[in-house]
Amino acid sequence: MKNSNFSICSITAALSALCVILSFIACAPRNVTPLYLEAEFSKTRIAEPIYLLSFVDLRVDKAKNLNLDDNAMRRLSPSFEKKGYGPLKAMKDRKWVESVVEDDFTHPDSSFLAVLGPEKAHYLFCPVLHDFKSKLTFGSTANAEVSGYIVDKKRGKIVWKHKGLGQAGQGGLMGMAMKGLVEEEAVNTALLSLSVAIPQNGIPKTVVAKK
Amino acid sequence: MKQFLYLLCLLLAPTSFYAQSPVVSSKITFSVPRDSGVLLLPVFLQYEDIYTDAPLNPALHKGQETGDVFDSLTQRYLRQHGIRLLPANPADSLQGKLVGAVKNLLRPMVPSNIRPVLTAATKAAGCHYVLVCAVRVKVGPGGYWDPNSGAIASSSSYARLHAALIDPNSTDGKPRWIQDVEIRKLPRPQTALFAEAVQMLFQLLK
Repeated sequence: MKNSNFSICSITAALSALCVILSFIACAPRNVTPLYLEAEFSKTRIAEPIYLLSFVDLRVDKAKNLNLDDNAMRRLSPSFEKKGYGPLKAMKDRKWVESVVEDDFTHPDSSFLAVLGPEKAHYLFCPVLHDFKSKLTFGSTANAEVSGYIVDKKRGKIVWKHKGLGQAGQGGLMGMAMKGLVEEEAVNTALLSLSVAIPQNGIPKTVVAKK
Repeated sequence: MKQFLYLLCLLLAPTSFYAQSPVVSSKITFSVPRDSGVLLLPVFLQYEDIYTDAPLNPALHKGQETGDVFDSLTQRYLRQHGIRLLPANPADSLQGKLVGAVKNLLRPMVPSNIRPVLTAATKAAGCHYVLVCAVRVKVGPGGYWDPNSGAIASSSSYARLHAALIDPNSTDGKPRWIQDVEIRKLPRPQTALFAEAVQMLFQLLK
């Protein structure tokens, strides 16, 4: 009897452990197909640094300062490095993105893309904030909607595009006290879902042939 | 403790109401000269999936009704404020071309190939300006409450109402006046919130 109890307990424990492991696997960030990836870009090995521009703010109400640029650098640069690119070079000067509108990415004009960002850059990463809202009731909630574009400046083309959405919130008094954290979590979730779609840095055929 | 929580809810109720009210993008006023007519194009409706920006069928979200209510509220509000409006007639050859090109007229710079049509249509209709409006809706996941963890989330859907007053004789191709209003939920055409948003959209056009 004692033995059978012991075996049931051990099976239950093993199943619980398996559930925990499976849930970790399910929640782990994985590669996601981006909304747009140019075939040529996916095959090219990028050796030059990618320049990270400041966030293009497309919110209707821009009153809340979110200080997104540091956050983007902290979250996106390691993702790029994991995918085989060099670390991102942050360009904090807002002069390049001040006059950028949504239309510049939805109806891209090659002459505009060719002069966007620093002159020496070949590839640019342009993060765009479409929407951010936070709400305080009996708890707090926040939503963030971001998109990212990789621009090949020399060809004046968008070579990669993806979107990320972050929803976060916590109910009760704790949630009210954690409003700042909830807002940050929404932005981080959106940036994370953007970063998982960054393509692996392509391996040129010549290198493969030498091996 | 219970009384304290009730009091807290009562105190916070206005903040949640404030979070729902529409927000405007610009505080710039534009006065339309009283002798100038404004050619009003039918509203451009766009429903998109928030994750992919893929177009969605407006019929699934009362799109047609939203457009009709928006047009009637716009006409009523602007006429009440003394603006001489002429709704565009799609059967007219020139105005029909403009109605078909609404999407392009909503861009920050009016494309140069449409400008001659714009000039000819306004001249034929005896108007000086063209008013272009859009209702762009992003449809995303709704709010939730998880009783186990206490996690909550608000709906991520929102709607942006956009209006641009175009002067066909403008040399730079930019609209004379632009306004955007955001509603932080799916637009429901028969609600007071939607009427308030339309009113806020045009309150600085005098």
